[in-house]
Amino acid sequence: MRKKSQKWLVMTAAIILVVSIIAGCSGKANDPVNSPSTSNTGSNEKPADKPKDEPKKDPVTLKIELFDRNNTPAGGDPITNNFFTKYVQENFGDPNNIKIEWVTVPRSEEVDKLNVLMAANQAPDLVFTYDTSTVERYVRDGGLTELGPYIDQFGENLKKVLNEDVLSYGVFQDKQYSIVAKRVISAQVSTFIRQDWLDELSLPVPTTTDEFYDTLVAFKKAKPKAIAYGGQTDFFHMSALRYSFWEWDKISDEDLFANPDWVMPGNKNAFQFLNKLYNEGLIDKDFPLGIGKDTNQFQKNMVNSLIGAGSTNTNEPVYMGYLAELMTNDANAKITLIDPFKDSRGKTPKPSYTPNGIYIIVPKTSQRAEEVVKYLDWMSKPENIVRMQNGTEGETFEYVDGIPKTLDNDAAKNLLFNYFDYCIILNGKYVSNDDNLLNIAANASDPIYKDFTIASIDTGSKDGVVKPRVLAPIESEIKLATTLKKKSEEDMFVKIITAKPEKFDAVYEAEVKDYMKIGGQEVMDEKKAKYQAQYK
Amino acid sequence: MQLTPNTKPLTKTISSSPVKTFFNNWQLYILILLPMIYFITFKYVPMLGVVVAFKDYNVFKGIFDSQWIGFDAFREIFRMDAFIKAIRNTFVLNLLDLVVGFPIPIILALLLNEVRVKWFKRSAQTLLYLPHFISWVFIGGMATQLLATNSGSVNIFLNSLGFESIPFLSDKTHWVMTYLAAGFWREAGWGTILYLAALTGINKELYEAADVDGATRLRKMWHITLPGIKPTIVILLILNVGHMAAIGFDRPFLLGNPGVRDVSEVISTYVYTVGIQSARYTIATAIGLFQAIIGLIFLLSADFISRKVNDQGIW
Repeated sequence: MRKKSQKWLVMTAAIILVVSIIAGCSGKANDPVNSPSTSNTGSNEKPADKPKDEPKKDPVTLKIELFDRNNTPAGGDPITNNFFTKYVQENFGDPNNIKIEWVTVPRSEEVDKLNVLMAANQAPDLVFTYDTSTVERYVRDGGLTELGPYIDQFGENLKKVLNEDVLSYGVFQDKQYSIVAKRVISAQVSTFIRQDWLDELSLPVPTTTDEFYDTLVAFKKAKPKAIAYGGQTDFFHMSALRYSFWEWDKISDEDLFANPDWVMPGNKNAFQFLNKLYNEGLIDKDFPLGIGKDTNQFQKNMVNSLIGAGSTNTNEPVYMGYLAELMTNDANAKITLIDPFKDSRGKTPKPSYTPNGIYIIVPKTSQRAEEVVKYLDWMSKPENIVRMQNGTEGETFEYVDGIPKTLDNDAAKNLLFNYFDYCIILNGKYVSNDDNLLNIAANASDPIYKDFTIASIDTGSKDGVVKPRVLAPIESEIKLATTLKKKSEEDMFVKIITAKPEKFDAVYEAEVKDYMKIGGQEVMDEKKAKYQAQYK
Repeated sequence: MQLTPNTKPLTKTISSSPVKTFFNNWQLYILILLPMIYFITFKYVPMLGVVVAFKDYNVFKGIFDSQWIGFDAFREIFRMDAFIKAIRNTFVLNLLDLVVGFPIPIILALLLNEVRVKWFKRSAQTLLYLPHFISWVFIGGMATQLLATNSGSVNIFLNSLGFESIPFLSDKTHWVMTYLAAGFWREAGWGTILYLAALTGINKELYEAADVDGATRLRKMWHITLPGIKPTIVILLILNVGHMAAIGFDRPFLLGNPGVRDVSEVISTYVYTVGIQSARYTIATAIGLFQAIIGLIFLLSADFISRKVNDQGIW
């Protein structure tokens, strides 16, 4: 009896197993996600031949990449189901019989995740990256859809917003493989200081690097728990400081284009200064923990009044909302924008953005290139730009002198913390194709912090430097850029700054030598050759 | 005799032909199908991917249409200092884990075995192996929250007592200790399970005989318990040695940071950097293949030693 029931048990289990395997396999065969990857024909090249979708048909799915910055406020809707996604679906998706699907990608791992998605043939139809060499690599390997013909056919509004100049940044190997977002503001990084701390200690606003150092020392002495210079301590945000130590009269345009920052005359002094700040406890001892990872530690410290001065993305404290949070926590807090990093000529050089922002690309495997361009074109209409950047009039913004101003309420705070991840054709708020002053005013959209925004853009763009542009692709850079970037922005940056002062010279020399050895030299030589080929 | 009832079904199975056995027990063969499909799809089919190591792999062309490049990738990886460093770190971290970490579960098991209060023993055991179920992602986050130099709770506590902060995560030596400690905390309790199981197999009469001879607890541990679990210890030790070249990805990646990369970059994280972040799949595959070969050598030699020492191999 017992034996028999055991046999039944085994048999039932076996049958369930077989049935579930068969069900699982057949389910996969019908899965629409896998089918486009197998049938990639040349039809992408000729959009005109494609039959127009009848409105009665089942909607097509358009997959769009979306950055997840892990910063949704407590009261905010999830980023894949909020005002913006609904607005896109209702005003673009439904009329065109398109179902929009948002595919989130962690902001700090965007390139890694994109590589995986592309390699697995599962990338969304619309993807983007800030990394030029990644785009060049995809172009070289033949992984992207050429968008030129689609833009000509469907991109009338898009062309108005992104003029020829901006679009030209998306041309690789003479073809428009990418649509490049327009950067409204060219300033990269701005530095702020706590004015109320200065007042408390009766100190002047620092105007030179030396004065800045003295101020930090005084902050540290008066507030031992605080981090005197505690913004985002990384390679990118230290650029103004680094550039100010360079000996500009010894740097030619060719050097500026071809040389890695590490071999620029004077660069070592910049790191010696940072090393000094670290060893005297004036910058965050924990800064290595945040590099390359999604920690919002700086914002937390800032909000808790633990930061004396800091360098951030221009206007970031306003558009990410943490300046407002600081003001709520500490009514006495007062912030001044400063620009103390002066070079030997008395200028404050710092890198500026070129007019191009993020690269928007369509994988070769996608069959929705037409819809992607239509979507971007729809987004470029002035009324949609306003909605995609500001939300709803009366709820989250109002017009003041014809410019949208964000309202100071919870609805706005809970919605607008990542509007720029939806309105991908623009980096920065945008109201006019003709008058950039209006655009600056639009970026000062929060009336309370208008002065902060304007000062932030002013100090962040003063004496800005743009590296020269060479059109030929740099083959060695396509191969090595990520490795070198990681080496430089993570390993070297941390190792050199945290070195013991007496070992600083040795560590710096050894690291730079290593950098040149693992590819820095190769890239530099090729860049020099390509530069000379273009300009001589 | 007890043997008689067992012999009947035994002879029956032997006498029938293999085909008949198969049909008699077809349900069991179907049940083993799922694990077999798993191993074939996830363990054997991906092995074909190693050809990528010998090709200039282009993700958009696919494996078959990419160009053959012979051993170029291997020549390149052996010129990379970072690769050599990753191998060194893998071995050093694994060796430390083994030397320091291996005895901990044994000691814990011995201690637990001596506990006579049942409820205490059970709850202690549960508490000890609970961390095993916490993922490294979570432990990595906890480590930062607790151990960061400025904002970590432990250092804030130390400061409030008037001590200097300890750079648990940013100084190389301290980081290695943090890395090891986190590993022990997570795995030691789990490791005791095997030993506790082995302990139950020891003949109780031996202890009673020792009691009669007036042996102390320590004596009994030394002369009965330890020899009793010796085969388990040896097998586990050999298995661990066999895994010297392999290292998990999560633990060094999540606990590590750029400040300690000199000691925290191991083969698995390096493959991630080169393969996924830089999209140099050929190089990453070559590194993976090389690691697999080293691992195989270690495993075969561990098996060889095991046959000499224990009279039985690993498989």
